[in-house]
Parts: sequence; structure tokens; C-alpha cells
Amino acid sequence: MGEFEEIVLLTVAILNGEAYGVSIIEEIETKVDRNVSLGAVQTALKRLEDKGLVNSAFGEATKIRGGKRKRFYTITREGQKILIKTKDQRAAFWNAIPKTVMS
Amino acid sequence: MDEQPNNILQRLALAVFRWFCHPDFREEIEGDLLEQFDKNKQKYGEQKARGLFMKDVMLLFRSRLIKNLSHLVIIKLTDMKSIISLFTFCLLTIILIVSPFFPGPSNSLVIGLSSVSLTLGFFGLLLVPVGVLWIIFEWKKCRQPKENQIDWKPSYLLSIIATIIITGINTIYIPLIYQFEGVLAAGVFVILLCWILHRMIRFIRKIKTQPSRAFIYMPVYLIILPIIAYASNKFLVDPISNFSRTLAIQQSEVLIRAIEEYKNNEGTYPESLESMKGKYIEEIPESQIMGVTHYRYHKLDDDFTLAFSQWKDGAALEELVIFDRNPVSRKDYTGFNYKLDRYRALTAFAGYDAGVKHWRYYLCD
Repeated sequence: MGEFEEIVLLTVAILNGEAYGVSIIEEIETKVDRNVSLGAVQTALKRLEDKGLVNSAFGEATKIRGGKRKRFYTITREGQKILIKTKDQRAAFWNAIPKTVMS
Repeated sequence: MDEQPNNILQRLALAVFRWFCHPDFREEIEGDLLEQFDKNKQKYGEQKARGLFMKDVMLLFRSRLIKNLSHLVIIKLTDMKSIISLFTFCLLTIILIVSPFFPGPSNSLVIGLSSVSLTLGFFGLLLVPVGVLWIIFEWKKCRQPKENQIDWKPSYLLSIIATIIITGINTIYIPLIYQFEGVLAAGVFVILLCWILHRMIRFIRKIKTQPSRAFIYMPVYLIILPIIAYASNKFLVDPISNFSRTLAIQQSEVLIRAIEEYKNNEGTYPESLESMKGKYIEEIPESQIMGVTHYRYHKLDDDFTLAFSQWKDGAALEELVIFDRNPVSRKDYTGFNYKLDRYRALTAFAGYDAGVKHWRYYLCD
């Protein structure tokens, strides 16, 4: 899983059932302070879905968005496991850094 | 946001997106695009939001979102036939336009057909707005719900207008081709025109009697062919005519040598090229360019000129290339007359160095 995919997966988990294209972009831009394109987010979401790390389902049709439905993403059990594993791996790296380096 | 974008560029971008995006993802991403645009509009203003919308659409062109190319290949076999046919006609138009500048024996038929093709790039441009209107109606027709009745009337009317324009332009051209290029070129042109009219009339009848929801490619022809002819004339004729001019000048060297030899031996320049045949030259050489007429010789008091001409543009412009050791000065170009044949005396309005000593070429109308 690439760095951007990890960020998107974390955001899906944060939004807890309210994650769709635009809300994910807003959340990432707020948290990471970087511009994200819709194309990049959608591509990452499709990859995560192919890998079984997220599930998706259409919401109800509304009058906003030109009447187009939102596709909401939720993290799967497998996705949660991957995030925890990645977090542990990173923590192991952080713990391995000598104290003098980061002082 | 509950409406589609009003801006034409935005709508175009959305149409492009709908075309390339995989149908499975289209709805959600289109909704995201519109929502994002709405938010950006409030944040940055409409103009910047529109720019960001275009950028977003471009950045969506990714292999994962296109997924596979199969849905892009929406061209049916019948469409493919029309596209191949359109491509063939475009190629034929280009070949006809540039063919007078190809090496080969002088041929008035080639010149005649080329000038007809070039005309397509001028008067034929009248067909472009008709084609554009027609395409808009075709587009609307194809998008109509199946339960609606097919609206064939706009296509019918526009096809009649196109036929009238085609017939009008070409009818003017028949006597001109007959006068300048002879009966063969005029005859071929008449046959070609009859064939086009026959096809058009059959086509117009079919629009009325067998209305179809399928896209009609005729307006695409009306737009593309005149533009191709115009572009070929604008960008191809100049470089290729430079090539043919240089080649024809090279071919004339043997003739000029023979004329000078005649002068050395006889003390005067020959009255005509024919009078040198046998003793000074075996055969009068041809230009070896399909669109270049034979060399024209004019005896002067104690000098001579040698000339040939080639069409530069089917509507009016002819190029006269002259070997003249005493060329007229630049200020005299306007009104400079050269009797080309028994019909035409050309009037030059601009002259240029041909890149070979004593050779100049003049643009004449």
C-alpha cells in the first residue's frame, strides 16, 4: 500500500461511513495541508476497493450534485488490520531511532 | 447544486469526462465534480472554480478510471465504414490539390480536378456552417428518447441547402474549367458533379422516406472536406510549388543552352522553339511536372524570354515563372502583362526571385 493510499484509507476510517470523494478531499486537505485532486482520490479508492480494504455503496439520490448519487466508502476488517499493521511497523521504526538523533 | 453547468467550456469538459470515464464510476464522480465546483465557487469565485473544474476533469483521465478501453470503442461497423470513407475522401482531396506539382507529363485533367478541389477550400467553406447546424440537429436527434417521433425535417432542409450550394458553386465552375483546361477536364468535372448530385438526391429522399435514429455522417463531410482543402491550400501548396518550380527550371537548362547555341551559330535568336528542332535540339523538353504547362518562348530584339506557369490557387492565382535577363523593375510589377495564351494575358501583382540566376516568378491574377 502506497503512502497516499494509506492516507485515503485512514480518512475513510476517520469519516466513519460519511466518506465519499469530496468529503475525503476536504478531510485530507485539512489534516495534511496539501492539495489533492479528485482523480487521485478516486483512483486510490478504486485500488483500495480492488484490494478489499474498503467497501462502497451508493447513497440516496438527492437534488444536490446535479441529482448524482454519492458513493460512500467504509473500511473493511482487512483494511483495519492493514492500518494497524502499518501503524505498528512505523512505530517500530520510530522506536528504533536513537534518542540522540531526534533530540 | 441542482443544475448542470451553464458555461459552454464546462459542459464540454463534462461531456469529455462522460466519454472517457468508465460507466460504473460515472455517476458518483460526476456528482463529486459538480459538488467540488460548487464549493470552489463559494470559496474562490466562479472563474477560478471553473478553471479548477477543468483541471479536475483532466486529472481524472487515469487508467484506473477509464478501466478498460472497450467502452470507448463505441464505433459500430457502419460508423467505421463512414469514417474510412471520410478519411478516403480527405486523402483524395489532398492528393488532387497537390497532384499538379508532382513530377509527370503535363496534364490538363489533373490541373482541372486540382482547381475544383482548391475551390472546395474557398467557396466550399460556405458548407461549414450548414454542416455545423446539421450536426447539432443530428446530435439532438440521436439523444431523443426512443418513444419520441424522429424529427427528420431539420436534416432534410439542411441537406437541400447543402445540395443547392454545391450545385451553385460547381455550375459556375464548369465554363471556367472548359475554357482554361479543355473539354476533357470539363467533361470529367460534369460527370463528377452529376455523381455527387445523384448521391445527394438519393440521400435527401432517404432522410424523408426512411427516417432513422442513426447518426448521419454527411454534415461531417460538409465540415471536414472544405477545411481539409483550405488547410492543404494554405500549408501544402507553397512548399510543394517551390519544389515543382525548381524542377521545371532545371528541366529547361537544356533548352536555354540550345537557344544560346543557335544565337552563336546563326547570329540571331530563333523565331520559335520549333525552328531549333533537328539541328540544335532533338525534342523540345517537357517540364516534367504534371501541372506545369509547356515552356513558352518569346523572341525579343536581341534577347529572349522563356516562361512556364503553374496554378497556385484554383480560385484566381497563377504563378508565372520567367527566364529574363532584363526583368521588369519591382515598381513595374503591377500592370506587368504577359500574354500566356490566346485566352489569357496575366497581370502580375508581385514578383520574387526563383533562386536561380535570371529566373523570377510572378503571382498573377
